[in-house]
Amino acid sequence: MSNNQLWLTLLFMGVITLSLRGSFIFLWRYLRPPDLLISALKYVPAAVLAALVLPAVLNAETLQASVISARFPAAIIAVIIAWWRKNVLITITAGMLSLWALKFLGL
Amino acid sequence: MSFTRSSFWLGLKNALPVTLGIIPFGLITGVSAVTVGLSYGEAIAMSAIVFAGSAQLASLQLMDAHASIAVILITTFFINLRFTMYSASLAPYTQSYQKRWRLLIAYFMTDQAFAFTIEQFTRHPEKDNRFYYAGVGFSIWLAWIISTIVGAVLGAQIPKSWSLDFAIPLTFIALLVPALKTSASMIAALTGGIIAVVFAGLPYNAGLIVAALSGISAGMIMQTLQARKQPA
Repeated sequence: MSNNQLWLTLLFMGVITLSLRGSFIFLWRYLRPPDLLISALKYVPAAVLAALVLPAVLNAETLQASVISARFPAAIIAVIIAWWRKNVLITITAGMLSLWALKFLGL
Repeated sequence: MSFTRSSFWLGLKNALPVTLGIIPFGLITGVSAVTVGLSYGEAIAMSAIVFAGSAQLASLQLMDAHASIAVILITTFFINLRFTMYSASLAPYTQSYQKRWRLLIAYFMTDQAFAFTIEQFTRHPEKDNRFYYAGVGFSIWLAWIISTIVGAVLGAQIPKSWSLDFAIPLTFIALLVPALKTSASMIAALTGGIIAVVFAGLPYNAGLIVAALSGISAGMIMQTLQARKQPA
């Protein structure tokens, strides 16, 4: 990505985000949230976050055993910790420590 | 001493504990931005222009994977779609405000600012809550910008062998797991995750969009099936 492309991306990201934030505040007189949006929104975090996480921890583009080995088990540990403690900072710390430990062990 | 100024300071002060939860996110976003190759200026500009942590982290991960701009923008749209709900909740209380005030309320809208101020709006709809909201919003904004800067400076010192890019998927794991409260949301996550892996080879990371749409649809279908099964 060139410098110009990066700035253009940032600008468009800003416009999209501000439009979503301003949506009903500005359009309230003409528009109310449709039912489809309300029910779809319930599943956006689960679907999008899982779609971001799984390929990243599996290194899905280059499915090689050597690449999988450290990140995937570290991610599993992070999932368990996230389930148990429900704390963002603890989850990230545990995940990073697991990754370093697994790498140290030669995985 | 005007009432408006004191409510701005009250909002600013009341939101301080909330900012403590924002600082780690800002630090990770700053670290990730420089790890992916953004300059300090670009990292700070991103936090000021976009001002939405999850979308920023997702776009950084996608930039690192050489995704197309279209995929980055569509992902930003999906991740930030939740703001339309906050916008709809705040809308009835903001209709009498001037356009520039509504714009400011929109710009300062975050998960935390919304959660923190909606009670004030619903409990005291007769009051002028603009300045209180602005105080809360500015508090969070300042914490976000400063922690991004600190993160960017720190990130530049940390060697690549520490694999700090792994903090991005870890942050998403920390946000994802508590969101799996129902079987329908678990189906949404499983579908989204598996489809994303299957289509990971698609150019420009387009598989992410296919995965997001499949996951959301799967969740909605599951919800419909469950509703049908239950006796009326």
